[in-house]
Amino acid sequence: MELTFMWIVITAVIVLGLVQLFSWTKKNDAKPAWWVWGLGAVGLLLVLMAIQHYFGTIEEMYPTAAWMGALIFIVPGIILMALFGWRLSASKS
Amino acid sequence: MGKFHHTVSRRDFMKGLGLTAAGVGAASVVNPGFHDLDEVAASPGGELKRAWWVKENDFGVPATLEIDWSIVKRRDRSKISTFPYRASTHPNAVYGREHYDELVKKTINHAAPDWQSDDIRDLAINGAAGVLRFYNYYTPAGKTQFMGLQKAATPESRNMARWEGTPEENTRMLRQAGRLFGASSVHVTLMDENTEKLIFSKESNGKAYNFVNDDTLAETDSEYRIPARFKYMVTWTHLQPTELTLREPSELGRSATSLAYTRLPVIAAQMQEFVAGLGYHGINAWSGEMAPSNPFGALSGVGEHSRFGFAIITPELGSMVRGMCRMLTDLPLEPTKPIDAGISRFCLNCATCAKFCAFDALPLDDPNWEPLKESETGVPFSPDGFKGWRLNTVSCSNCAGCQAFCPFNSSGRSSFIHEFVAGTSSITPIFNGFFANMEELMHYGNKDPKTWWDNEEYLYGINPKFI
Repeated sequence: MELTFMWIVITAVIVLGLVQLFSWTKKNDAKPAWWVWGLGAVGLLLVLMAIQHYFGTIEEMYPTAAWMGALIFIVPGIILMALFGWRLSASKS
Repeated sequence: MGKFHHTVSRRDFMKGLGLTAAGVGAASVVNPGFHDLDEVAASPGGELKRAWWVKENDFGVPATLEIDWSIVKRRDRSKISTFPYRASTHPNAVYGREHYDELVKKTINHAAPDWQSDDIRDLAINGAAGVLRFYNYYTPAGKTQFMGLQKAATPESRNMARWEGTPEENTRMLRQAGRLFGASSVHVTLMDENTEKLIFSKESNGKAYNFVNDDTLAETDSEYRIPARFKYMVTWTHLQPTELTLREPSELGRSATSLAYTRLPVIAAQMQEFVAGLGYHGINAWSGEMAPSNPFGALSGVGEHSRFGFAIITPELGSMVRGMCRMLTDLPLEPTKPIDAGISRFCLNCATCAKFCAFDALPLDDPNWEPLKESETGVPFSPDGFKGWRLNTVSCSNCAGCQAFCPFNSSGRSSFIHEFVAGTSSITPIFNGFFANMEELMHYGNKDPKTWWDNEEYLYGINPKFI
């Protein structure tokens, strides 16, 4: 139940974030290349995978596997999202 | 059957709701096989549901276990010692018995470096869990496993006709009943000239298993007479308490095994009586008599042959299964197909269980056709006729520690990663070594026995993710 609530909150945050992102790109007339969106999508996916793995594995009661697996996914996820943010801000006119 | 069904068809029902033709068409795409509301309600019961990465092979041909039926011959069970470790004078068995506590501790210390020994409450749990293990309900009732308890009312005693269903319906029905009783996955092998070779020629008590041409099932002082209509070997497994299995081989963890063996004879009797109540007969063979379990488990698709040698691993329950039952019946059943879920191929690259076996009983080599030689290993009986792994039964203390380390125990659990790994390894074995290493590196596998007391146990000890 707690995890369901957590995913509802995460979904809401992502939706709000996307709305903000699109309104920002419109306002600033940002036109990033298609692959920049790809970087952001893959980065977000990896972060979500890290979260799912961490809480799923904590539920399985394997704490070492939880943080180690989460680290494996979240580090490239954050790097990709940082790249996405950098390229996006560079693309504004 | 049909006359008891409701007369309102799905079409009429949809029309009544005033849905458009497009709506009906869309519904047909979703549920194309239903003919009336009863079918809609009844369809999921007893269906065999498997993950997308579990592929089926042809009947009688396990994809990942080569069998040379020309070598397979009927064996005399009275000449086979299943676990010679207990009485063997071979140095491995003697060493294992004398150093049992120390060897088991070494295995447990992988997850719990500070663990010293089971305390009295751990021992008490296992003592209680196993107090009725393998309980013989038959002898006190003056009955036998072969003929059954014969307590349930039969169609004759109810003055009713016996159940008549198609083999497909019957298999689903038996699976549905099995799930109710606690049988984890009900599968069926068709008996033919090959599979009949797996039936022992004699039981431990010296009685012969004879397939006869007349129609009378009978048990005499010297033989079991099995008519030709007994063509269906039903197999099912028992899921051990999941969190306790991961704490094997401690005595606390071994209560998972004890509980499975306690539930086993009850479920076997219930399955047998259910079949009797339908007007048919089931010959139980849960005590290791009549036939070995492993080949029937692989042939019927319960799971795949594994590095454990004596035990299969299932895609859904991993190695957490215990005491796979066999029941030969004349209830017409649809056989189930052997599977290929990449389990045997994973075992080839994994060997985690063998590495952690403190008794060196599990093989580290590749699958082969050669039975273990008694002159080299002291093992008095090693099965032949298949390319696979064989357990060194002289060294194996039956501690069950191997069960706790199997990576397939993670199937169907909470993290998405297990489904991802299982799916990938079913497609290609090239990442199997990497996955096995990661499993070890990330400290999956066995758990600290002492932590069991600090976490709320699931009802019946079974994590609902597995059922």
